[in-house]
Amino acid sequence: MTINSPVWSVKYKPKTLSEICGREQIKFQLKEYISKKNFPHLLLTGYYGVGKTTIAKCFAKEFLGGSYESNLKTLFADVPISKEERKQAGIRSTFSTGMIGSRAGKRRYIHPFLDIKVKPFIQIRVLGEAPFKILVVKNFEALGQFQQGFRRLMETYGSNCRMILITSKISTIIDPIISRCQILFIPPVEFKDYSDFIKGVSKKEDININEPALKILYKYSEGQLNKAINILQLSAMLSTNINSEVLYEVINSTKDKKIKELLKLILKSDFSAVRAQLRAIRREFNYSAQEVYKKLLDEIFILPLSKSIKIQYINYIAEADFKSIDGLDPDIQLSNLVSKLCFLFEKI
Amino acid sequence: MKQREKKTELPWVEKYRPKSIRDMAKPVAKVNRQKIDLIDELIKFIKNFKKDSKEKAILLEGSPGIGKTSVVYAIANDLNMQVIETNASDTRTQRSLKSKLDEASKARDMMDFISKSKNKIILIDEIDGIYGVSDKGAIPTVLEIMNNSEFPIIIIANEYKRSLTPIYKKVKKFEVQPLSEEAVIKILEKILKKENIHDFKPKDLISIAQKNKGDLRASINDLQGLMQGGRSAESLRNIDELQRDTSEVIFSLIRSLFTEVKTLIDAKRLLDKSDVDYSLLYRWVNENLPKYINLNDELVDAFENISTADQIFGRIRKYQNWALLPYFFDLFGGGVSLAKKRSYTPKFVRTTFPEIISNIIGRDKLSLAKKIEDVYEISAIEATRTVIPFLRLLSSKSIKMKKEISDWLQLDSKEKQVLKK
Repeated sequence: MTINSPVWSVKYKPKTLSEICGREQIKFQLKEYISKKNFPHLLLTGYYGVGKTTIAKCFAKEFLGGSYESNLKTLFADVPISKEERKQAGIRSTFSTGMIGSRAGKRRYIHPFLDIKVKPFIQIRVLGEAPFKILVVKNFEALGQFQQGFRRLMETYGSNCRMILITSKISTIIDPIISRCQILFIPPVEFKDYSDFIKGVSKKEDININEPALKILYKYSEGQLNKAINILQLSAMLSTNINSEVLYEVINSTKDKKIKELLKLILKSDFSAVRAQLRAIRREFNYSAQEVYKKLLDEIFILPLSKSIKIQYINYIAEADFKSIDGLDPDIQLSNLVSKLCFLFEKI
Repeated sequence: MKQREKKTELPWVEKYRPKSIRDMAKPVAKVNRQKIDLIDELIKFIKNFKKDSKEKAILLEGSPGIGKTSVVYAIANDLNMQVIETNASDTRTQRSLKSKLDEASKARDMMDFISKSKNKIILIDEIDGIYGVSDKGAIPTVLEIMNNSEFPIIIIANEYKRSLTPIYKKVKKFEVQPLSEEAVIKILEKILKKENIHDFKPKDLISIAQKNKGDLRASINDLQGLMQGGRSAESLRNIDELQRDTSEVIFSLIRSLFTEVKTLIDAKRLLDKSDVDYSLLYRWVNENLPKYINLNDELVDAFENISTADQIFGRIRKYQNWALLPYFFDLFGGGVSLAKKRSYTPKFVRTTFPEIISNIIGRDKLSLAKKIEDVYEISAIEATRTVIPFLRLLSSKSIKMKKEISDWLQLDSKEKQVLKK
């Protein structure tokens, strides 16, 4: 199915470790693991969209060889658990058998994610020739306080199943997990590897992209190949000769109209309207607070503002982003930022 | 003398439970939005009851403490009948319910034939409490008893419950209304007279009645607490402490946080007094803050404080460091309310529930997101964030591309609509 995909980012997705663009050091380390047929629990970290999951998957597939289908599972910690699964978890909760103390006879609940999705996979023995199973958990930070439950599982079932945890926010991972894993930082792609890759794609698709446009694309996509290829494909639909003008036009068209409307409201400094719009955006696209910060930051280049105000604008966003690392309620943190921006534009 | 001593040990609610309908505040009920006299209707129902009559049961529905159970006992007493009661505290299983009601509902026992003494009323109290979702087996039992009963059945419920629908279909439903404040005060005065207490303030009675909103049982409990707790009825603060925790507490709490609090200590006291779960409370504050503070510079201060409070609460949760809790309270209580200086607060502000934006994918996008999840190997949530907007853009550029995408993902017409937007 992936062969006839009209979307380039799927079409040119690497399928083996050696196809992965750049990052030679990481690839070398992972290949060592494969040749020795053993590795510890891994924690992959790096910026959003940098290729952590793709690397983890390619690695796991090559490691497990022929029996990868039954021994590899990928889970998303941020996907909400359905009602039926919750019900099942309720049935499986057990009564504590202790006779003394405050926990005596109490019902013990286990987080449904662990109980429904993780345990059934890691409790079953390895199938085929592979030395152990591999479980990939994406967006691990979304588990929050239930990370604590994970550490017991890593100990008890460690010999049967190795885990590759993936997160973009390593500061939210609790220390016991970090101490049980080897941490691999996946860096963004370097420009040289990046331009080779993009040139390879454009050659296959019969388009030309000139050197300055390549640089703009690299800058805009921040080393995220997915994003770069998406924009390349959109530009290719406009013309086969891609220069910086075409690129700018496309980049502008990909920007969210709703974020622009939000900015207009902020410039009018009408707080309650801004907050309503903000919530509407978050409800539609399921944005986390971090993504909204990024979108707001992206808009800075088109904002008609003086330099000092722009610096202030960035400063506020940075501060809010920093606060949200610990914060629980994204709505409060976003409201904080938006109120500051409203006040900033009221003054000028 | 001995008996009198025993009497004083009873809670006042039991001690002054009405013996006859003449003693009690007349409850008013509604049927199809029309007011009726509940006592008349009940007496009519009980007197006209025959074994083969169609209506075998009546359902009384209303908030707690307004005299639903009392009116049944009072009527039974007046008509010289015996009440057979089951309630949530002594009947928990289907079997015990059946064994208790079966014998009562069918045969009059031998003694009854000989003495011809008492007719019976069957009272099923707190039905919504006993037979929740967990015990559906009880509903058929109740229906069966209703069909075979030789005696009138009165069922009492606090609120509408969907699981009870089969019962609603078979009974006549009366919605019992809460008592008026005057009626509550009248009864409270009567009790004080009987208790020989004269040094109370009428103002206290009014505030007790207002606080409990027609709940007579709670009012009497409050009164006893106030009068027997050293009779320090001078200040209203005592009554504040007796306050029950309802969702309206939050409403008034939020309001007084923004309108009455003048110092940091005020804010602290206000938050200390309430039993509201604070992890929820600060979200309420966040939601309603812009309604009370409307100047942008004050909003900045308020949000700065509440966002720091949120940050601290996150750290408390993460490191389990509960020593940080005082900062959290001060920042979202005092920090927010004292940020308000010149803002004008309108007289009527509607306090609203905090809006929760959860990671749930809209129903229209779900099937498309699931397909993308398979192909792209990313989570469905991420699909709605990044992939769906991109596919929309891509398919808007050319019709050929649109067709290719829909062939590739094998989209149906509904999913195509999502991409069109």
